[in-house]
Amino acid sequence: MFTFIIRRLLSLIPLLLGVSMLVSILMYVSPGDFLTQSRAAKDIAPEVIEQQERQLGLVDDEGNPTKWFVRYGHWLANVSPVKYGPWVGDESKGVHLGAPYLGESFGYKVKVTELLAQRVPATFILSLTSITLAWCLAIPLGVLAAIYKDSIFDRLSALLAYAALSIPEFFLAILAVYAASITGLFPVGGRSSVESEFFPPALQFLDYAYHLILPTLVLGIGSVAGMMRIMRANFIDYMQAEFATTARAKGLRERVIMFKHVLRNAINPLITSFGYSFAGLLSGALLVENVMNYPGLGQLIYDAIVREDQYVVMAGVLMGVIMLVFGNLLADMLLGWSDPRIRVESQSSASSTTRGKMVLIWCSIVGLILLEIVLEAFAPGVLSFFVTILKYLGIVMVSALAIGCIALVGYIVFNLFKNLLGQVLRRPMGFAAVFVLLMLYGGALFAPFLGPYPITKQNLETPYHPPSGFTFVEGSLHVKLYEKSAVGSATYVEKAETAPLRFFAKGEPYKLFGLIPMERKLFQIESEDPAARVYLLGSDDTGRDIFSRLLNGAQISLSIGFIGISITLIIGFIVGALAGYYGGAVDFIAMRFVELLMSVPALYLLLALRSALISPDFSSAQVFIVIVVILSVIGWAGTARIIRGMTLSIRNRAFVTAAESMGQSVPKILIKHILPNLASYLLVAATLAIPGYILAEAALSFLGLGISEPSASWGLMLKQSQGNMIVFFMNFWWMLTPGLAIFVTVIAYNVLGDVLRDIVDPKMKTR
Amino acid sequence: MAYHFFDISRINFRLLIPVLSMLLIAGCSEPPQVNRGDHPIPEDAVIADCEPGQYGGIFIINESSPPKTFNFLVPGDLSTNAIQGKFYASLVKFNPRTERVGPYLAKSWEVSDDSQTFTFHLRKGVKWSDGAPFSADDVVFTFDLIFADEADPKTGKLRPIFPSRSYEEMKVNGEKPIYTKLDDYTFQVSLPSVFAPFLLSMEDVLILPKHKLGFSLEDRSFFKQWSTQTAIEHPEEIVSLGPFVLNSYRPGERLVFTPNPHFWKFDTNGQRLPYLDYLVYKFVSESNTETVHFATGQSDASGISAADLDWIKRGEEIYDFTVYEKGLSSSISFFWFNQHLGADEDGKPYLPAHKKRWFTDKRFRQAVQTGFNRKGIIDALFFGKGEPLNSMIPSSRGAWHNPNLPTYEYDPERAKTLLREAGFSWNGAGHLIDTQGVPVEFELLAVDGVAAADTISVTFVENMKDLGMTVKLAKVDFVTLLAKTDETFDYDLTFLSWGSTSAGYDPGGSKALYLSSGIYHQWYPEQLEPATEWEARIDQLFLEQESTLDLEKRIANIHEIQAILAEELPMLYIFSAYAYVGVQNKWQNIFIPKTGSLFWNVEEVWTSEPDA
Repeated sequence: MFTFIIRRLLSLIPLLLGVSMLVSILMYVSPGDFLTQSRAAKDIAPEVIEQQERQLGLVDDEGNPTKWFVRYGHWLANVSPVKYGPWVGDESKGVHLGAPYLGESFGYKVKVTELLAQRVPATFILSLTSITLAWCLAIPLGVLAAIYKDSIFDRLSALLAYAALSIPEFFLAILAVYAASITGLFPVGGRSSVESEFFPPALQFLDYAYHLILPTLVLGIGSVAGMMRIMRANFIDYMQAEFATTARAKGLRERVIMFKHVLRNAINPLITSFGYSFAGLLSGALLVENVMNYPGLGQLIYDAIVREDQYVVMAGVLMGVIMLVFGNLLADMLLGWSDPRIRVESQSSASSTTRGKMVLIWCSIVGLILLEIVLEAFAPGVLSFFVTILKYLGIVMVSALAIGCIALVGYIVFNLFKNLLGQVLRRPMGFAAVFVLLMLYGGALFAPFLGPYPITKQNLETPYHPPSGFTFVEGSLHVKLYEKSAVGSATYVEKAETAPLRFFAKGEPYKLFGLIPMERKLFQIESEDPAARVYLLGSDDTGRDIFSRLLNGAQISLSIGFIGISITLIIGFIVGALAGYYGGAVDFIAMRFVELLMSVPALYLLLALRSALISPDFSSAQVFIVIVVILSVIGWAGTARIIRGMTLSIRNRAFVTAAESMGQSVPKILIKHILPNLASYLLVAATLAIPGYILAEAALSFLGLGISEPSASWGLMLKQSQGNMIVFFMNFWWMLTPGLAIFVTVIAYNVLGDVLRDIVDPKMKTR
Repeated sequence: MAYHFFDISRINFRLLIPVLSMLLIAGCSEPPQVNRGDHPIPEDAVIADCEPGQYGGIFIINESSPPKTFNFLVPGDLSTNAIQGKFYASLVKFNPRTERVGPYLAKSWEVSDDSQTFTFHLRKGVKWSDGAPFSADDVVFTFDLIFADEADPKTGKLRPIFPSRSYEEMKVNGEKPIYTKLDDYTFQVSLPSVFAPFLLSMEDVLILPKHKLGFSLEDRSFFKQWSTQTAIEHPEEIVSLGPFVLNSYRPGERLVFTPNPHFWKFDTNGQRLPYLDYLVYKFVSESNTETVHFATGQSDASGISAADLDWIKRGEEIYDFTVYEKGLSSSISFFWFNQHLGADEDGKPYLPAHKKRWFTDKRFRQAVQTGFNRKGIIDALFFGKGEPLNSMIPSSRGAWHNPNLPTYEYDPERAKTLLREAGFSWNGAGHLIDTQGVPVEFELLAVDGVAAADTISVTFVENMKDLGMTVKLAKVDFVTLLAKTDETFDYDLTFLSWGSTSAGYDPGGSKALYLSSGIYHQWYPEQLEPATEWEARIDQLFLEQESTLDLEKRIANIHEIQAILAEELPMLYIFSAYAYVGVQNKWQNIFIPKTGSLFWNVEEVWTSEPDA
């Protein structure tokens, strides 16, 4: 066990080197640097800028931009505990030991360590409380839902979980702020009240706790729902397992079986995920911090990334990595404790091969760096050229991969459905879910026909127009018309006149499926006044029809989830299952790579990738593809890690050993034996993940990095509706319909997932 | 017996917790009394021209971003500047009541006959917050820091040791002014040539303490002094000459000021200002949250956007505050077409011939402006609480604004007529084509992620569609936008919004915009020779007004410049919204200035109910 820990800690060194180098390169290739803003302020003389460039080490003596490896080397020399010659704050000569120096913030002119230390306590406490909340709620609720499966409690908790999962975190935060300000029960953001400045310590502590309640709830609720669903699914699985039956046959009490045997098995995936929530302890929660005005690390590091305050970013990311490794170590040890079958120390038997592999990895990394340095030195610009090639080639390749993945997943789903559709449709819940999803996808497909107006069609005289009412005039359906109650007001009153609604009438020309030119729309109104409109779901701040935008936005929002999950699951399964099955060196390399990807906090990796990959001249379709790609590149690592954890425990089961001894090939074992056992998890994960992608897109839009105007997506629309408190305080409820659409989609996916799971699971069938 | 004793003590203990905490809450929510000291009134103390008030109260201001530094020469941002004004002081200060630059640390000054030499008489007896006396040495020290420079070992050119914006701003035509200390309370500056806005720029020179920071000029550590870390660990090190001293700083949370016990301003009753016990800046990064804070009575004052006015006003009675109209906001937003006539290194012109034809034709620009529904955007975004902008110098700038300018009201038919006059016509599909049959198509660059920018650009595209033009909307980040408009010039049309500070009150400060050789001459910057006659005329008018202190002559020239710009329309102004501020009713001596910060006189603000 001790050597295991030591080895894990030693593996931290290459990981840290790898991540810091990755961040360094990403920051180098992303356009602009810290002084970009100063350069923009043109009244600052160029000499001043040049001098600052030199002071910050952005250019070398000749005035050329420093190469990334020079900056990185400089940083590395600063961080290294072994130093040569005089160093910052140390005059001794020769080789000696010195404290690692993480550099100084460009913007704050303060040591990075001090800057981060200012924010660490707040972030640490908030993360800790929200993780605790999530665990304390999710496990009991998941277990109860599993034990009382199909009871009212189960259904209710599922509904609540779906609800929690379908609300974007930032939106929940805004709702919380709104609720707090209306009721006055909780403080509206912040970490402590102004008066607490004068409180004694005990009361200050209470004040902190009081301010923690809302952010904790907001951060915790999302993970409660996800963890609870996984816990329930696993618990149900293991309740049917052989050992449970054996225990029952032995006459053990049900309570002992549940808590002594089933629980310890079912909790595995959650423990695996614990490592990552632990890593998140210090990466902060940017969106919630932002909305709830909580002074954590997220905001600081986000600003640093945006301003390219390099050393702050590097230090922040490194901190995330260290936390992750500790978290994973902790998780592995917990896993070993809760499930003795998992061979925590299995790697030590293969240590000689691992050592060989490690040397190989080291050599290749060093070789690559040297090659890069040589290239950069003798053929400058190769890196950026390479990145440009990678950008376009990568987009082409990944879109090809995406198409492949969709085809594969589509094929599997189709086959699954061919056999299962009848069964799914026979269950009322399944029928409802399939029906809703078909409606949604159909609506998206026929959006230009169903929506009465183009998504960009404005009507500046009717901002925040309420949904139109209908009435019957002389036997035909008429739309009520409205006018503002007063000039400069945002409220409307009905006008006396109405306009007839015409079905299959001519509207603005459009192309159905992007191909077929058409003019007929499902419905239009007939009116002399060109400003008269029918607003099924009201209008937004420039008088655009929300119903039309919602339908068109669905094209983006509904496909992002599907494409994303296809890529994620397939890559995740291949890497995770192989790593888990083979263990040893394969596992070692794969998991280090996964750790590398996962250890950079997702949001920061996403920001860095986005700024490195997206060119300003990209069309909105290209931006869309890049976003999907980035989301799935970040997403697969987590799936792989969890699948690896489950494969680890499955591969020790008797049927795998039996298959091995019968000489079955590895792919066959993976697909025939491991996959079916993972199927229930994969289905649950997929149903939980598709909404995740929809929400991730919304979060990106919230930061202004997602789909942008004039295109529409649900995330963008939701962002626009909450961008202004006026929507809440003036009760423009129709602006929140994109949220409702996300909600309905998520519930439909989840219900379908649950129904499918009940049908597919082989152990369920035998019952 | 022992058991019995134990039992009772446990019960008592349990009962005690709520009782104790109640007592604590009741006793301690009262902030401790502020020690204002008992220091003598300085010889040259200022007597405030406000109603005398009483001591006490906590004033809470929401600020969107925390200060990056407490050292005023380190380049910071707007909020950094706003906060620095509370503990720094300058020689002169703009007074929103009189709308003139008035005395501050300098009690008076004289200008020589050639308008180039300024002699400042400093107040006697003024002390820093640590009790050290203030003298002309501190002023000289501050100028020394600003102008400290050395020859670059490579190029031989002079470069500042502490590169700051002030280093450039304070130079006149690239030359440093000559400054001397005449005696302990007299300071003289000689300019190389007449420079009308000089006095105003003195407002931005905040005096630094020689007794505290003198060493940092020699060992060149000045930029490392007074960082956020100093404020957290040793707030008392940051000595103040302004109304407040730093009490504590919690990064990302708040900054607490207490009164400067040595402040040199008094009311007519002889009470030392400021009245407030505590001035608290709360950092609220999300503007929605900031607004909600104020609307529910959790902060004492806040700026309010026109869009939020309706619902915030509903809370006026419940939370006892008043929303004041500040007038049209002083920020400026405008479109401009690329009119750069130059070519890149390979001799390829920045603008293709057909676009040059369109963009340099003033009738085309006027047609675009007339066909752009600015009033509609104001209706949609601000419920009508704004006005289309007609000049670079908005009406909030008082006498500088020229009220007789063409307005270009929204009129698509008029726009079409203008286009027809300029030789444009429409083809069968309704597309606008120019004299040579080229369809009018161009790209609008818009900065990503700004809500109002979305509405503006999307509306613009729709409006131009009505005129038959095809406008492609390209979203870029700010850095890319600047690279395109300043370096590569490969853009057609874009727009920006410029905020302004009170220092921008004098249009003389916007030299770089008006002069054809200026770097902010957005549509065609840094011209060697004026490209057009009207640009040459503007150059002439601007340089003329700069070299005179005669206010009427200056205003006349600035008015003519505005008239030329409005006719030629190199900048297609968008709109300005009405600005509003809300203040809790309990505060007295609130004076809402037309431009600049609401808190300019926060030392005079007081309340009769400090505990409410």
